[in-house]
Amino acid sequence: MRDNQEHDIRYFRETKKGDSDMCKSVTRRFLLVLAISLMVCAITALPACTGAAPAPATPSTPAAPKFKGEITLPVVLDMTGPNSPNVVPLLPSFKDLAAYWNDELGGIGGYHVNVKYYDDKYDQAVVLSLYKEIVAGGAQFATFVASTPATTLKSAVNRDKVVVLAWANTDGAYLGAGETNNYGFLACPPYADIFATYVDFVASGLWPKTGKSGKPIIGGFNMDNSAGRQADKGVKLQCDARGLTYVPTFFKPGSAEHTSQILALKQAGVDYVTGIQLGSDTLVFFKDCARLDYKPVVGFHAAHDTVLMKAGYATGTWNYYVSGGADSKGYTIMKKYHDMHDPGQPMSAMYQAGFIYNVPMHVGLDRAIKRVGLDKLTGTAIKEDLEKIRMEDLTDGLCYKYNYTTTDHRSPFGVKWAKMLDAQGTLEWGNWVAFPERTGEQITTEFWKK
Amino acid sequence: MRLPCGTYNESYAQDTAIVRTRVQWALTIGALLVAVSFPLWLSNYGMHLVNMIAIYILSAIGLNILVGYAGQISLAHAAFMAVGAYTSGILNAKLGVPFIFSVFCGGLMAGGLGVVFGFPALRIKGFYLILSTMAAHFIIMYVIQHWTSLTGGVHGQSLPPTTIGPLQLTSEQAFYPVLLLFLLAGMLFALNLTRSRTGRALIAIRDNDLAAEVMGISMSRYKLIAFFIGCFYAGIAGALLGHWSGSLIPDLFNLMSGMWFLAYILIGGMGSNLGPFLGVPLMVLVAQWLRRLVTDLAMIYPALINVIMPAHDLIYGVLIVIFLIWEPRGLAHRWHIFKVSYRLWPFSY
Repeated sequence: MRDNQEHDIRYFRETKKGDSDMCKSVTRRFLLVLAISLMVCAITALPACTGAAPAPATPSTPAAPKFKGEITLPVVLDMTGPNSPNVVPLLPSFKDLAAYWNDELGGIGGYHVNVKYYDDKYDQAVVLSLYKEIVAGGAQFATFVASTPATTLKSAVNRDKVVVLAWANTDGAYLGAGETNNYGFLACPPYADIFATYVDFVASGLWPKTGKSGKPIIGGFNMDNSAGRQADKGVKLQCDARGLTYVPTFFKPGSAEHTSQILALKQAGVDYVTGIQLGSDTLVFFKDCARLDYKPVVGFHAAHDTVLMKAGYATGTWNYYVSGGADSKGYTIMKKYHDMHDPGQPMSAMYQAGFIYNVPMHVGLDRAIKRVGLDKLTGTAIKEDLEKIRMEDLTDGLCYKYNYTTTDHRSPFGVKWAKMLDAQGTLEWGNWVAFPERTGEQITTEFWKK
Repeated sequence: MRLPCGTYNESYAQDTAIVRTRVQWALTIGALLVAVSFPLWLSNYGMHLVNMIAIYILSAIGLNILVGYAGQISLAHAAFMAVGAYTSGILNAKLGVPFIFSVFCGGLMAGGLGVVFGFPALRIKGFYLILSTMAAHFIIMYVIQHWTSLTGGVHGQSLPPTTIGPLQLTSEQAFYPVLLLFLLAGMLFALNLTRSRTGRALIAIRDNDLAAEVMGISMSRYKLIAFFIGCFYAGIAGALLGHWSGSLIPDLFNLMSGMWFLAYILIGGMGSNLGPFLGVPLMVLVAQWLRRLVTDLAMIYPALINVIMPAHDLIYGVLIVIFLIWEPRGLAHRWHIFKVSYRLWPFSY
């Protein structure tokens, strides 16, 4: 007799004395499974019971009399995971932008806008899965707020002809070898260009004010991933163009210390450090700089995070702002919608970035729907309308102008650098700094992947 | 194999048959028909899930052989999938090697590397082996991320559309038959392996390696065989994953992915060929369902979005813990109890 046969007989004999059959133990387990199933069904049915089903991606009955119907914008972002502290502040801003379009612009093409979030957990496999889920639902457009969706999704979106707005990944903005179309559009400036503007900002603005002779030495402090490598490349190109010395360093996101990188920068005499990091890495950097008595002038991606601001580390640092038009009509609109839910609170850099992030999607959809109608809306139609945008102000001065061509999908085309003056968030603003001009090999995907 | 009452094996062929009785044949043919019919009635998204599950099951079968049958715990499974994916992708995209051949080359490369990293397993086990395989994962991924000229580095690379002769596999439905064939072949091989002399040797090593060695089983030989086979499966699955997704990115093969494969076979039932077929679909579908649920709830209660969305991981973890408390031997054991009770019902023994 095999071992498991004996086990089974013992198993069934160990039912309580008096049990005439083993059905009682089976019944108990059956009831347990049934109870769990009913609980699961109840939780699943909860949305239906509350009478508020999620909005479909195709038009249905109008949400309000002035709208022709409803349109859902899928937004995929890192609501959990290591990048979530940077992304969670974006959540209300996407909804605020949609509310602005609904309240004051008549919706998108006359349709009420509804934003639907998907959590990709900072996992590329989940990004792919969510993309396929969204496309399978019939959507011809989606917004992705993750650092590498352009690379992950480019072949898929070009094959499926689905327009995606993506975070700032340089190689996704251009055509690759053999490509004639690119359905991915950048919603924010690519990191390579953002940090290249810091070089211009330092060389033309900050360094001359110091009164020192010679040239500034620029240092890079970047994550060792595609975003960081591209930022590094953009800075190096600009330093080479200006004849400046550049000292690059890289680190693994989530590292507990950055001693070796800081010592390398310090020993090279770096005056100005720039690069892309998560907020947690920036905090570690500042702590290690304090410990090693190194005080460079930093121009970072997340230097003005709320945590850093309150801890005092953000004071004296520069951070780029895509939405730098603090005195514009667009800023007033953004503040109005922000104050509806957080009155009196400062608008974080990420909230401001989120408010302008989805603008191209709103504009492209609006123009395409007005041109071809919602029933004939395709990704190609949206792409065609977006590629007609030439140095156009889409945000009432809140951010720099947008410019999408068939070969270059970067936008907005400039940023502002601002310095935090105190822990309360008072900023000293610089002027708009436009991107460096890129031609030839520099507007190909392969160049930025090397 | 346990036979129904009154059914006996009267020949060697009957004794070694995988499908023995008429009921089993009927169920097998029925299952195959259902599997083959998926593209006819499932949506694009449904086919996407089926394809993903098929690839993950193939990988989990390999890990089950390594961990469940040979007892060699490996955290480097995702890295070996990456080896297979990059090998196959580079051979196919840059050298024009035909798709099927490149997939097998990916498996062989992963298997070979598995043998290399399996050498430490000859002298260590348990916790030390876990650390050793974790180190293997970091080494492999470091090489992939920094050999930029070959792999594209951290940026990864896109792959051209997969072709088999004149056929282009650009849709989920088109890819499915290829994945199904690979899965069936892998499943058959694993079934026969575990019933063979090699399989029994692996089980003996898992149960008591010293006793196995005393009985004359060469530990070094069979451990390396286990690593080769397990990593071969990972390489094949990784190659299929790369071609199916159309891009090779290091982030697709992170350490957590390797840990999830361990969870799949743990939930499904370690040391059981049925385990991957139960654990992978359950875990993947539960994850998808939970994600949809929290997204829908977040739409209805937007003020609680910061609480609801992260709850996905919490609920998923709690479900896994509850399941393991209820059935630590996995779903395969629960299925086994059900089969036995069905055969005996209404009798208790």
